[in-house]
Amino acid sequence: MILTDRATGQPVAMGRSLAEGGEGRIHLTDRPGFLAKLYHRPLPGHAAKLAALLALPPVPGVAWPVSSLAGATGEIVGFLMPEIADALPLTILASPRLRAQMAPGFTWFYLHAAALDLARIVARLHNAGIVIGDLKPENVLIDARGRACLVDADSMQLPGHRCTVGAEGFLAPEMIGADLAGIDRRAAQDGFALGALVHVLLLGHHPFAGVWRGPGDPPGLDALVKAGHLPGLAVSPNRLGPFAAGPNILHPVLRGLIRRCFVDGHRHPEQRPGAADWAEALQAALADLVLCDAAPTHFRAASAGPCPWCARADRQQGQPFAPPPDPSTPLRLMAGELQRALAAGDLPRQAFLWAHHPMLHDDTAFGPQRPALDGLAAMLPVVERLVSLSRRAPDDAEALALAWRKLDDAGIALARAVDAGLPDRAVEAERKLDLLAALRQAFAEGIEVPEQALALRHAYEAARTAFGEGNRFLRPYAGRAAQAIRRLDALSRGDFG
Amino acid sequence: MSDKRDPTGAIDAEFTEVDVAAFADNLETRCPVVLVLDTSASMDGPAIAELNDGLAAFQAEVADDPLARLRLDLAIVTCGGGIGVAKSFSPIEDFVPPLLEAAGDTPLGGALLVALDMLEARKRLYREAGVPYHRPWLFLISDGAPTDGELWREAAAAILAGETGRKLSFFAIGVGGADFALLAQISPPSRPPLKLQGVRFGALFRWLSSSMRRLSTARIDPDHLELPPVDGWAAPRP
Repeated sequence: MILTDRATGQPVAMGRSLAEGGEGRIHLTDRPGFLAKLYHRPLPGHAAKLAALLALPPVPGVAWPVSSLAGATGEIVGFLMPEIADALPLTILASPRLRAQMAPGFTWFYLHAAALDLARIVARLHNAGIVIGDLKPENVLIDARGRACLVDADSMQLPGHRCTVGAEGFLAPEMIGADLAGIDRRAAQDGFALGALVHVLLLGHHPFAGVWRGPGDPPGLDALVKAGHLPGLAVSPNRLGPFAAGPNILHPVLRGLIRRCFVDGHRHPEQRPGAADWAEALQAALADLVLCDAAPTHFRAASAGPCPWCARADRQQGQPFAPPPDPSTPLRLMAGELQRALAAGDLPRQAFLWAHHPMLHDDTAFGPQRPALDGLAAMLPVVERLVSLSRRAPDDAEALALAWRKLDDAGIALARAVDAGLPDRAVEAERKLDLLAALRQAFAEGIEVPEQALALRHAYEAARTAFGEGNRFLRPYAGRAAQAIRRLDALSRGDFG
Repeated sequence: MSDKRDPTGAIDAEFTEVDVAAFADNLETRCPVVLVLDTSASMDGPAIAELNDGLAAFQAEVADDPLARLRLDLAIVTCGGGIGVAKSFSPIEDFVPPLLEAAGDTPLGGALLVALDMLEARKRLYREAGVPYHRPWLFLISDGAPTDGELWREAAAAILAGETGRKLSFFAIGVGGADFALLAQISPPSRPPLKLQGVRFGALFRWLSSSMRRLSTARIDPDHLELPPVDGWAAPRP
């Protein structure tokens, strides 16, 4: 079949059909690097939406139509779009078995990278005022570098053109059962689908799939979504399946977003994380991935406990990550990360990677830097404690000051790089600690004579100014300080009364 | 994760080692399909040869689609001189098409009951493994009539209940001199039996594989799945 490219007027020959969807069929063409989508039943609405899409600036990461295709009588029957070469659909990459067969070496690191790229694409579309609507695994292609690409651009919702389709399990609860053709979609509904896709990519199953412990046959995925039967909720009749990896293996920030997306946001779309929130969290999660030292393909979240994949293997639940043809690839990836951190002078990243990858310590490539890296890695736990203290207990001057005193020069540089405010906070903590010491001293001496009472009053007031009214560290001294003040008042009344 | 498990250990007890291998790395939504094939003596000759060829082609076509391969769970029950399970449930990728031989009588009713029972057991396994599943498909292909008395009435009642409860999709396909009046009684009123032209099993299984590929990758309610046209291989009974 020969069609006409409307942009150039040139003929385009259709080749073999590659795939078939609800709305149309994808064909090879005689134009290298381009595929055609032909509608099953071309309608005037198709041509109008296509024209609107062609008029918009293409969003990177989306297989954007490049030109409409016309039949013999000039009617629009489909469009040309770039072919996404060497990419696999998310459906294949998220399945452990297919991944092992078709993309061994596509580790959790790549799955995180793909999820991050997908979140960024969705964020770009939302910034451009476009809601995807039919965001589902089949419409996400991923290449060997973990870069994502969205296809089926002509189903997206553009201003004035609705998205009329949706997929089971990826429609937001409030859209299930709605008349999709008659309703405007919102970005928060893409947010639901994006959350589900991230879940599918990183954990290998839909967030609402589980073992049904309620009465009767298990409801379908849409019914589970609609009812909010998320496995893992104490009240849910749906339980996490025996072979399913739970969200606990994810970076804590991702875990939090999953909760916000499917629990808090279940009935409140505005509470769901946006695409930019997912991108930020996935960026953090990607930076937190470390290679397990027991298996060459196991990446795990450093802040989420021991290797979940080793635990699965111990339970005879299979290996979700097949070794790549060259089994040293994952470790070389981390060595590359370390090289980049060294080149960029990124001390926290150097310390993190070195501390978590003892396998790299004998790598001669890092020989010259080894003493410095060892020093940084040794300081990392102290700096982490400082960071967590200054977040959790910023008033605990004693703990802060003691931790700070443990840092050597490398540690101070590391602390400064992690949080530029830490040195100032350490100085402040030392000052408060001195005030606290003075207060303790005055307290211990008692308030028998007016000089002592006066000293306690001064020490207490100075500490109160530094720590704040009612601070927990001053509480033990408050009673005697008040007593001292009362005595001094009585004394002054006696003097002048 | 262990704290999330069934405290009685019932889940673990359900799985044999083989099942663990089938489920641990494949949590895809399953489409269970049972073919109940009439392999009685009357099917001998070109009919059984066509049936075998059709099955082999069906296997090859489905195995070509990576996702259909993981999602389609196929079982085959034969009825010819007794009830046999030519293939118990397992993913299509592990399926070596059996060489069926035609012989004996046609215990259709019993074979349907076995098939229904296998479906229930399979669904239970899915539920324990925590994999979602589509509504099961049950195919009956026959060129005759049941020879096992009134057992088919029991099967027909179960099929009707399954269809009305949207828990089962039943298709009856009659070949040659099949008893269409009886097949119609087994079938739910909404889906009358189809008549195969000659012994064109090849076309039937091509239709079946493309339906399966669509169903197994469909994420919209299978009730509204647009199946490929059935023209070319069968016509509703005149």
